[in-house]
Amino acid sequence: MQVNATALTLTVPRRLLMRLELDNAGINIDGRWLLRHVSLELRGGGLLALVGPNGSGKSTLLRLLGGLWKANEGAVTLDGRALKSLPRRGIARGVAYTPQDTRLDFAFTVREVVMMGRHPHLGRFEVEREIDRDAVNEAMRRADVAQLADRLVTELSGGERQRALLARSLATEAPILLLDEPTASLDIAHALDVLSLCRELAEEGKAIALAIHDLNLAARFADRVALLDKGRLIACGGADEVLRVESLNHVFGVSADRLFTGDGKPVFVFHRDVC
Amino acid sequence: MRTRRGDKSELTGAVNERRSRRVALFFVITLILLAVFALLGVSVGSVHIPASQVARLLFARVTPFGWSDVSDIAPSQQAIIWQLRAPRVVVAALVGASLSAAGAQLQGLFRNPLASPDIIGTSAGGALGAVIAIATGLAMSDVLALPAFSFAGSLLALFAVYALTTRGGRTPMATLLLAGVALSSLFAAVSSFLISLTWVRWEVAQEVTFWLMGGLDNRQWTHCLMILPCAVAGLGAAISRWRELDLLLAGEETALALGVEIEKTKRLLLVNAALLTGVSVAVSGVIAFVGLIAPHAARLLVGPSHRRLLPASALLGAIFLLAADLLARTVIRPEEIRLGIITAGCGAPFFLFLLLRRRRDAG
Repeated sequence: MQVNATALTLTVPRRLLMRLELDNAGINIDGRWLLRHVSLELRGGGLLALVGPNGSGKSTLLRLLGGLWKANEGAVTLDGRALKSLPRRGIARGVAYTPQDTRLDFAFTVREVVMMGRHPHLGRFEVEREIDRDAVNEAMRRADVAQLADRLVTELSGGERQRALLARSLATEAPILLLDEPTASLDIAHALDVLSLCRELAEEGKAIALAIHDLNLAARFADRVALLDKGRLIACGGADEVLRVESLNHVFGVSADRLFTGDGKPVFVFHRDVC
Repeated sequence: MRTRRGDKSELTGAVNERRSRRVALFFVITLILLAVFALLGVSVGSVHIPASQVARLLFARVTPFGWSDVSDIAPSQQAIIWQLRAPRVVVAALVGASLSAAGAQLQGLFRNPLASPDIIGTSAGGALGAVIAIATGLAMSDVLALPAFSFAGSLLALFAVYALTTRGGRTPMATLLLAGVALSSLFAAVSSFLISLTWVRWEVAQEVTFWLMGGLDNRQWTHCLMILPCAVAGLGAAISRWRELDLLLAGEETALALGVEIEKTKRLLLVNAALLTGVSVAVSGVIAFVGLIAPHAARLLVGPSHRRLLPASALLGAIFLLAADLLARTVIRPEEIRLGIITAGCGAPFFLFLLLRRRRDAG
């Protein structure tokens, strides 16, 4: 596990690129397969959007990738090593998972919340070092919450809170970011901000996977789209291959018109009546 | 743009400095209050002893022989100070600190600001253990039986309530409170049953009943020695886990994702909270609501981060219990009110207030 804790910038040096892989993985809870036969690879420099109906397994897939849940079948590997054999701190230095639930009932300041992202780098009796403060400041700057540093998270708006949590993930300096519906509670302007930031981070070398409901945004920002249905990975690839009218019809039970914008990205208009 | 950023970070520095100054002020004031109440606790009583004499004697006792001369203080007064009141005051402070530290930990662990050792049944479990030790006579034959039994009782109660109410890492508030009520009643019923069995032996029944009401009368240095190492170790263990506790407040998935060994940490903290509660129950009986009030007040004053919250709770708990004990001894002099009654009298309305405020916030 050679993620260098002294790396100061959030731009990931080439040698720190990591590969997170699922090989025929499945999760079974109480006899029901929440996810099965999923093979997927995350590499630096790409943004993968997970799409699918409610309950199709997007969150489960992210939890599996983040090592929060263990695969009952198949393997999850980080740079070729089984995730379950790695210590929690080691995983946390490589993979930063942000849950969908952004509620925080306790009045921490934004800075304190972002500093929590340094936990994987700090020993039990260690005090925060200069590099930890630098990483926190840089993460807050990137996520555009530097001006909120001393505000209480309980007083933030949904968009601000989402960005604060993104900053916490960035503060870990993990090369792989997993985000469960980071745009769920955001208006369109804030959603675009968050996704543009993800896009930038991916271009700087991070590997990002995020679950998202808005197919138009997914098509616009992601390099690859993974379509999930009932715990199976139906298709994974470029947006125009995966997001086809027939497959959307089949998976979501809606009919759709696919148009193209000037820059060649697909845009969908949906109708509930299935033909 | 750059200059604006610079201004902001300067502003940030100022805000941080103000906050850390406020926290420092909090600790200075609470330490002074602790000393004042401890001194008052020793000097006030059926025989009033001037605080100056108390301070001199205590100083003489903790410094090497010959440093100061206290021969002008009558031996009877020396005995009252050193044998009767000083141990009581020290036990009060340690019990208050332990229960509050346990409460702060449990609130973090359950992510629920209404958790505290007495409300979720941990104290009742400890009390049952202690009642068993007294009723069976084991407490008479071995001094360690009482603390051991009440620790076991607390631990059992804590694991029971945790296993019953936590699903998928979440502990819904209503479930937690109801399970606490149910378990407390169950433990109280078993305790009452044991008391009714011992009714024929009047002194035992009286001892148990009195002790269930919580009090610090006749506490001696042996009781201090019993609780001191547990309080220090328990508080130390909790403070050393302050980052994990903060992360648990942010949610179990977040904590896990940021590298906390969740299960190990939770087990350690549960055992730790049970130890602090159990040993407190063993030396003072059931003293309700300290573990709820002190962490709440501390959170308002120093914020939710456990690095400051745990020591602040312990300090406030110690002060609160010293003040309550002072009240218990003076209100209807020469009689005493049981300490547990005083703390419940202050705590129950406070608890209701919190509950109503939460309901209003939720609605």
